[in-house]
Amino acid sequence: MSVHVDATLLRRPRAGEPRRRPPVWLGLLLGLSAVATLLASLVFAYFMLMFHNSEWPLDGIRRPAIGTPAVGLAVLVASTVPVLLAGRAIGAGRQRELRLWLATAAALGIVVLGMQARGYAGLGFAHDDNAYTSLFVTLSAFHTINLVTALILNFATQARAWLGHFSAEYHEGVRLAALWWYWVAVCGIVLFATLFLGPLLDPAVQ
Amino acid sequence: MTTTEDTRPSVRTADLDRAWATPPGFIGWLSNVNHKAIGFRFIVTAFIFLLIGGLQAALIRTQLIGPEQGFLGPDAYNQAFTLHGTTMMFLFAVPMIEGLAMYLVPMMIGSRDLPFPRLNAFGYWLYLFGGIFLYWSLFTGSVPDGGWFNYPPLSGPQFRPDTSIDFWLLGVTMTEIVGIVGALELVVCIARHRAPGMSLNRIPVFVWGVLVTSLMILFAFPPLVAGGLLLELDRKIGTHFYNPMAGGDPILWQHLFWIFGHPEVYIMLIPAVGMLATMVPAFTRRGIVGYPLVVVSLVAIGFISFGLWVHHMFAAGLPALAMAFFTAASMAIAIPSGVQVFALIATLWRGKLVWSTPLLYIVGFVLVFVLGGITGVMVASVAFDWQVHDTFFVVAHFHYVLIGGVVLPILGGLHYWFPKMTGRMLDERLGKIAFWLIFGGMNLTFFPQHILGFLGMPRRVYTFQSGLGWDFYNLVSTLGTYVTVAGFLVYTANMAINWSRGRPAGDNPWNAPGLEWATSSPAPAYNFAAGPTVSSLYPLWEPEGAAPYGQPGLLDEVQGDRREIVGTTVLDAEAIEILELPGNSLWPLIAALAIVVFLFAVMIDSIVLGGIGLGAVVGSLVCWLWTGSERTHE
Repeated sequence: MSVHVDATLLRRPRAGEPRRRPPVWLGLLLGLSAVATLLASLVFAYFMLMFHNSEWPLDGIRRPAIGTPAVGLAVLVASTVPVLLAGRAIGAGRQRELRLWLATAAALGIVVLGMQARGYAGLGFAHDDNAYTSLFVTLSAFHTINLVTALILNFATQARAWLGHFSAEYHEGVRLAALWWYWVAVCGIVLFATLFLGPLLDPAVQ
Repeated sequence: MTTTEDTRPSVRTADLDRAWATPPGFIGWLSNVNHKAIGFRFIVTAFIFLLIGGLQAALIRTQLIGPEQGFLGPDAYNQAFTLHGTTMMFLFAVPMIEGLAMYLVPMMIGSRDLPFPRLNAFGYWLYLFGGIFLYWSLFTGSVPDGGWFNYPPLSGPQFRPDTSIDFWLLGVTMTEIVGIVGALELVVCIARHRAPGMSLNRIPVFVWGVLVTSLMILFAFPPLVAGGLLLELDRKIGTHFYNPMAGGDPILWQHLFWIFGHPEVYIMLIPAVGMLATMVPAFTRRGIVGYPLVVVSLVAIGFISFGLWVHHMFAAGLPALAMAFFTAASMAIAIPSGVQVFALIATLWRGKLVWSTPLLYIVGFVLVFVLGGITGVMVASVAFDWQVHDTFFVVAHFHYVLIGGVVLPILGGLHYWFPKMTGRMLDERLGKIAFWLIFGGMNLTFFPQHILGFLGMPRRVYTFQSGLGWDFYNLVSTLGTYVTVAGFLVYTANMAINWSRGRPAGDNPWNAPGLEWATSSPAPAYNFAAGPTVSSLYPLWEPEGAAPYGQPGLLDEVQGDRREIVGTTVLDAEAIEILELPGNSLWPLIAALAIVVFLFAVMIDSIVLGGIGLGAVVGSLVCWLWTGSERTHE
């Protein structure tokens, strides 16, 4: 069996040519799996301690209300649409649209962040009351940190978009920021299910 | 087997040298991102930590040389065994294996570098700082002493209010992050940058091992990062994750720790075994027996190892059904592990043996690892485990596994690839003396500990009383340690002496079949002047239809100052594109320093410094990513 590479057929990425996903894409997905495992470990901790205790939440704290967080989650999930559109726009080389959609996503993200801040203010308990409150605050903060990271990436990407760093062929920076944004939405869904629906599974409640 | 002549295409390398050059001077040294430079730094640093960990072992054994000794005292003894375990697991074994992988894998698969060179450099700096961070505790007087497993409540805020455990948690978390970033880029390199023609069935076993291990690291390390985060929060801001008085549970730590900790054993073992399987053809003059089985069983070990962690917690009072399941899984993993050993034995059996030093390490592995494996099957049984739990039997078991399965392969591998890295041969006579001292010494140290375990001697106690029948075995064990230490001194001296004065090695001193020997030793920064192609698992032995020394016309011309590598498909390694790598950069170093500043601020409870550190982390990462790889080439 003969292996001979016709080097003239190998593509060096060039302006004006569509481009396949670069290896860095695989790297991002792998990095994200590690972060997702971190989230899974925290969720594991939540349920392990929930089933370890005979009452949940502990110390007579009421189960958290679902309404406002559900609205926040809906806004967060909705914010993935402009992120998706931003990627499409730059894929077709439309710079103005890219900037517009990135800014829209950022605005929605800031709304979610504001709702989370109000949520913290109205908790009625502190992280050091008991294991339940520790878990609630830590897992919520994990999501907030992820969201803030997504916003920082978004702003850096917007700045680069204004400077004209991206083109239809080269926009890994947009992809990275988009991937992290989607991850924040997934993380939001998992944590909503854990913190707000999870306590309904508690055997003592049924 | 036929050995091919070296058919290296004649390439003018001046342009390549320029494109891949590192700026001179100290700043240039700091900004170097080449995989060999970084891999080499990992290897040297990890070897120094191996010597430090060995010294701690000698201190521990000296304290236990006889009954009621006062050499260390209880506090220093706890610190010594904590630092010994932590150093060996986090600062020696995983970094050494990742360092060897970073150095060797790109050459073994015909690539010019790893795909994310700056991430690689970032990993090294963070590893170095993490190690220094942990050892900084020695100068503060509050040295970690909670064991390498660091169980709460002993390590919690109630019983350890000083900073000792914080040093441990933050230092270890840094090395965990290093493991994750290293794993990530090794996977991408192996998936996308193999030489054209290197389909899945032609990947060297070591590279397979690195691939499996790296994927395991991505899923095994985050649980300990999570566990460490929760413990640090308990210690710093008064959360109650591990506090049973407020609804927490210390068993949570044990789960998170061992979900990491058990795969960790195989994370170290799998590439080490792969290393042996990759070396053995050179010393048996034939290919490894059962290559597909060896690879499949490496993958199987990777999977099964995630279902074993509870066997570290048999005495913690878990449900019987869970224990039955984990007993079965723990016994099942002996099957793919056995395949590795039998494949090596069969290769030795059928081969024409060349008794160089690396072959001694291969045979040493078989003997020592099988003994450790047998005691492993014994302690997999709950009934047996309860008898020997927390005794010296367990110490003997895992040292046989880890020295046999990790240390001996690494020592053999370093001996084997030393000429690749330096262009010089190690002295064979000194190499053999070192092997026999280490092999004999470790058996003398750890075999008697099986008996001590049966006689009921518990682990982690700083002394014992006379008249229990333990004196003689402890004395032998300690003398064995001194023999091992002598062996390591000879081994280290051999490397120090022959570093620059050894016999010139030539490019392929072992007449080996792997692609890493198809370039000069040591290799130039770009590894291959022209991209190699392969048509076999042993490209330098059976090269029909391919150009393992480099195919003329494949990447042998430099475009401007670009560092270019070939991108290939995941399964069949068909060449599809040419990619550009980023060059030297100081941002990785700055980002790693910023992380250290932030974690240091966490430890000393300084909000101002923490804010500065966090800002620096964000700023340096944004600057790092600012340019990305978006360069358009017209």
